[in-house]
Amino acid sequence: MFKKDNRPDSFKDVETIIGESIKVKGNFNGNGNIIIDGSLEGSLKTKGNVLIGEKAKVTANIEAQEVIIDGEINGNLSVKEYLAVGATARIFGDIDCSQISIERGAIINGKCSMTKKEANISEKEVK
Amino acid sequence: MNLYIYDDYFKKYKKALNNLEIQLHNLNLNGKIINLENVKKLDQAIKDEVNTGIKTIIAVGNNHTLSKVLNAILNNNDISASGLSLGIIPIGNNNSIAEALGIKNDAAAGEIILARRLEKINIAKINDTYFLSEANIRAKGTTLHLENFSIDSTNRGQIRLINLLTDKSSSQNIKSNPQDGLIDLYIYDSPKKQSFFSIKKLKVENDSQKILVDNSVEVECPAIIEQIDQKISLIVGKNRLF
Repeated sequence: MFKKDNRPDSFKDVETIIGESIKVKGNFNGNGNIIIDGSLEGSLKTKGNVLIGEKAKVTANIEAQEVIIDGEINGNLSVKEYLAVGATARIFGDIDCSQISIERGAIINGKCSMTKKEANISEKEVK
Repeated sequence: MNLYIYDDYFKKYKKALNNLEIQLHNLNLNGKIINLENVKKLDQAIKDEVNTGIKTIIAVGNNHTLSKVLNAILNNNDISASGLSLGIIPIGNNNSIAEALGIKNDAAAGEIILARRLEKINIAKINDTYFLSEANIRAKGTTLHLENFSIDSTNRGQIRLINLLTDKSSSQNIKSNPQDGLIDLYIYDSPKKQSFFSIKKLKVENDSQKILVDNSVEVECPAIIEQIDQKISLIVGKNRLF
C-alpha cells in the first residue's frame, strides 16, 4: 500500500498511482483507489475512487465509485456516486453519475446523465 | 540441530567468524557446517542434511549467500521447504535482507537464532531464480507487461519490484508487506513523479539493461517476475521492518 498524504481523505489509502512519467496502455482493473498523474490509454474499472490529476492525459472509459477530475479525459465516465470536475478539467465524452459538482473554468463536451444508483448499504431489521 | 552454510569470502572476516563461533557455542547453538568453497552441489548437500533430520538452515554471509541457499532449497524437488526454517547471520557488507529481518549484525544474530521467532514470508521468482527482497532495473527503456496492460516510463528513474522492503527511505514513501501475496511495483523518478502498483506477475523487457535481484544477482531481460504460492519461514528479530 502506498500512502499519499496531500490528497483528499477518500484517497488516503491508494492502491495504484500512475505517476507523471508513466504511460499505461490496456485495460486496467482495480479494487481500490487509483490516482492518475500520467497517461492512460484503454479502459479503467475500479470498485474504489479515481483521481485524475491536473497533468494527466486519459484516453479511456472510466468506471468507478467516485471520481475527481483536474486533468484531461477523452472517454466516457460512469460514476456510481460523486463526480467532482475541477477548474482545470477537460472532459471529451459522456458522463453518467449520481451527483456532480463543476468548478468555473472546466470544459465538458458530451452528454451528462444523472441517475441515482442503488446505494450499497444493507438494511438491518430493527426489532 | 542447525545447519550452518558459510560463504566463501571470509578471509578478511576471520575475527568476526571466530567471535561468532564462540557466541554460538556459548548459546548451545552448535550445528553442522557446510563451507561453500568446499561444496560443488549445494542442493545435494542440503538434501543430505535434511534427510538426517535438519530443520533449520542458517546462511552465514550476505544477501548473495541467502540467495544461494534459498535457491538450493527451492530448486530441489526432494526437499520440502514448508518444513524448514531459514535464518541468516550477516557477515560483512551487502546485508540489507538481514537488517530488514531485524538482524543488525553478527553479534546480535546468536540471540535472535536462539529466540527462534519465525515469520512466514512470500517468495518471489524471476525466471528460474527465487528471491526474497527486490528486483531493480532502470526505468528508461523498460516496458512492463501485466495481464491486461503495459507500462512504459518516459523519464529516467528506477523500477523496484519489492517483495520484502529493505529500506525505509523518507523520500520514497513506500509501505510494503512481504506477507500479503503481492509484489509492490514502484517506479521512482522524483518525489512528484512516483508510481505504484500491486501485482502478482509481470514481464520485464529492456534491450540494454539487466535486472539486479536482491542486490546480488544480475538477470537478463526479458524476464518474468512473479509471486509464487509457497512461503518460507524465516528467523526474525524484534526490529524487523514488517
